[in-house]
Amino acid sequence: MDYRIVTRYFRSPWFIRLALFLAIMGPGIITASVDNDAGGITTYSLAGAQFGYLLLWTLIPMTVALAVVQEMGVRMGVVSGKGLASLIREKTGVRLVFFIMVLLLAVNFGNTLAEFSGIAVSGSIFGIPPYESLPLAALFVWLLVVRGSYRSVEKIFLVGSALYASYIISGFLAHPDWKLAAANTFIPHITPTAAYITMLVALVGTTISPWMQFYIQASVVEKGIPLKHLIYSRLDAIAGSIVTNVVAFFIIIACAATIFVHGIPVNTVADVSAALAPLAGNYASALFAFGFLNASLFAASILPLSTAHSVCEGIGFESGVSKTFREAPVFYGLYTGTIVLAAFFISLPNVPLLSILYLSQVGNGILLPVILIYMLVIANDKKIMGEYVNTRMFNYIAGATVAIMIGLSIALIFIGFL
Amino acid sequence: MALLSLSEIVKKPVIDIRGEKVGKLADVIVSADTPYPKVKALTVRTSDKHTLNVPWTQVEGLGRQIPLKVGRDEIQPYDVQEHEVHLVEDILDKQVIDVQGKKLRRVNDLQLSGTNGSYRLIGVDIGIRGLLRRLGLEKVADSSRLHLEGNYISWDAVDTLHSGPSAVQLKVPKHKITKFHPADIADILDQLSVNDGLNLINSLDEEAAADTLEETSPERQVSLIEGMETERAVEILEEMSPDDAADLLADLPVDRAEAILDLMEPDESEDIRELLEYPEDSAGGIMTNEFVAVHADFTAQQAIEEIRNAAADVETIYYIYVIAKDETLVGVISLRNLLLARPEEKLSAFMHTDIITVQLMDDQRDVAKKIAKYNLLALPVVDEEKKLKGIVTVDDAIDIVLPTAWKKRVPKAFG
Repeated sequence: MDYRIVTRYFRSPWFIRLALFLAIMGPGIITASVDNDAGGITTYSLAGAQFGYLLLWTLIPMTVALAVVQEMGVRMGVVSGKGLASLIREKTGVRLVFFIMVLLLAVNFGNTLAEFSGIAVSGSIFGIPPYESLPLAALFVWLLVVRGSYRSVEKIFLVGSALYASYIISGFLAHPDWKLAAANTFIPHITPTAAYITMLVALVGTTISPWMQFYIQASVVEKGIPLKHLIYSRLDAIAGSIVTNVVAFFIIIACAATIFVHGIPVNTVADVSAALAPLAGNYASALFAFGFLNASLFAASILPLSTAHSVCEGIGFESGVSKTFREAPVFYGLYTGTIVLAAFFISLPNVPLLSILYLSQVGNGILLPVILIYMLVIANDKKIMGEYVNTRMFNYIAGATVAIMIGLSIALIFIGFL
Repeated sequence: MALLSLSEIVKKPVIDIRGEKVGKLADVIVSADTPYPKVKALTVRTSDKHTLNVPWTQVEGLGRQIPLKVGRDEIQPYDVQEHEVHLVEDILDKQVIDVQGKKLRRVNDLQLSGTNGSYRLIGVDIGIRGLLRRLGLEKVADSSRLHLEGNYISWDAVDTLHSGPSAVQLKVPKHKITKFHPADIADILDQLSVNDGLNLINSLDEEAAADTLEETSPERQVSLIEGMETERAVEILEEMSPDDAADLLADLPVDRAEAILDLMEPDESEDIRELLEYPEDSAGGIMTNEFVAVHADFTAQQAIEEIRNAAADVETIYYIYVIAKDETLVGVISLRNLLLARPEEKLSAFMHTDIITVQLMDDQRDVAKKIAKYNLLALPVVDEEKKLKGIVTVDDAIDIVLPTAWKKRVPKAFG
């Protein structure tokens, strides 16, 4: 890796540590960024547009929850050197893994649909009709992964993560009321109305999703991060959680300072982008739409891949883009099938997208508790984790996080949001 | 002879001689010494949530019910020996190496064979059928028109992996995989978790480990060396060719690389330190400094002697480089020409003097192009004063032109 040539000349321990962190950084930041996908951005914009600064306080506990869960994932990956699907299979046997994988496949297909609808929507904002943007995006996503190597793909993804900065800029362009934003970030304001609770649940629901746990663990395993660099991986996971929620913060305030203040009714990201143009300027509007396109494309490439990989890993099929179609037919079938079907469904007229999204949220809600509980079980298993099992304090925090996530997931299913 | 699948007997009731239920079968313990390990004991989870190891001598047979030869209170708990293997805990659902297919496989089920009142582990089921059986869907397999054949590997052709943090690592009997070609071992190594990979590479001797490591993807090389004891890393790196060793060390953190270099034999570490001076993608970065160089006033006979002495340590002997007193490159001779020359003839009389060379800082792709254009087996690398610094061999040039050969092994999380 190129930075090491540099370290031959800069031998200060501080510099070496920074260089090491930069080399190991990636899985955490990328996973957390993909978390702000089409669904995430829609939820954040609507939260800002409908409730102003009121819901900003949720970001701090959400950062903590995300950091806790992601840290556990990278620790399990680095210590065991195995993916989550492998660990669950080895811990509990094939039945549970099969159940999880079937659900994961269904849920992630729903999520991938959302990403492709995000691509279609943001394409239309820039004047590209869906029947052009969808096939192009599908081809781009497919080629990126099939033709790329881990390193090149990770670099592209890191650039994708950096492009989320467009939301920070549009946040500034919207000239928010910083004092009010700060006050609402640190002091919770809870209004017990049905709409408020629904939005709260949706916000939290979009933060931690099942596929992320498989993805982050698979990528640290893939990077082959050695145990002694675990600390940098943990930092990566925590930094990712913070960055993600900073982006969420700016999305919310951009909408709060403009759309909410002027009381414009919005329901989709296209509405939000259109409403931003007269209020915050064309740049803010275009940046917002660009960010949405970036996020959708980004997630549309990672989701199908992570799904195909997890399913093959758990069930025991050959997997990997380094294999030929003949060697790994199930892997390629799942990967290509998800992309093609998702792009195709979205290009159909009158797709019941909202119902599909709702169903996939329900699936998420069923799956998430199962996965989080097994993560806790495995992270406490001395045979797998050795001395790196959860500490008691960490278990309290993680246990509380998991309990809250489960409660909200169940609430999410019952409220039937969207 | 009775054939049984492990999944058919696990969780089935264990009944004592009076017909009372002792508990459910939780695991099967086998010896680890024979090619087809013998069942030594059964682990029973009793109704009051205890586990009990029942020696095989007290078991009547295996099936949908597992009858014992004794009453519950007469069971003499079996003392599990160090190398004995728990089939459910250690093998089922884990990954094993299929020695014949040279692949990693996930164990869906295990096959036991019973003769003369004793059972042996004979094979591993890696097929869809085993998977469906585990899911309780074997009837689907039977009724479907797809005739799903069972896909078994003989236990004889399986290598197990014992992973987990080193504290609970089991001693692994010698891996069968160690007899593979290093490039095949490297293929498997790239798919293993870092811990399993370390176990595997530590079971190889230094030379095999070095050859294997050279074929492994750069990322994996780094994590393996990082995970090793420094002394072991030093031994392996000394066996690697200096250019590969230098590439690897360049990817390690500086303090670790220094520690390793300091412990290496001085002449090995000097070669590597010299190579480390050049950027990775320059001619200097990919060259090796183990080559045959002889003085121009040598005779053919002396040159052949020189090659004989150096042959073990150099990468190629097909080209002999002729240097002047000040180490400048003045000629090159192919092994063929050398053998055809009269023994007493001076090298300067028949060497080629129009030599194709590259400079230390030349781009590696230009090096590969030159090797391809002039059909060379190796290309000398010189500095500004025309002093011979090293050679780039054709195999390294192929790696530049066809980086996919190793690059393609890398992306797994991404597909």
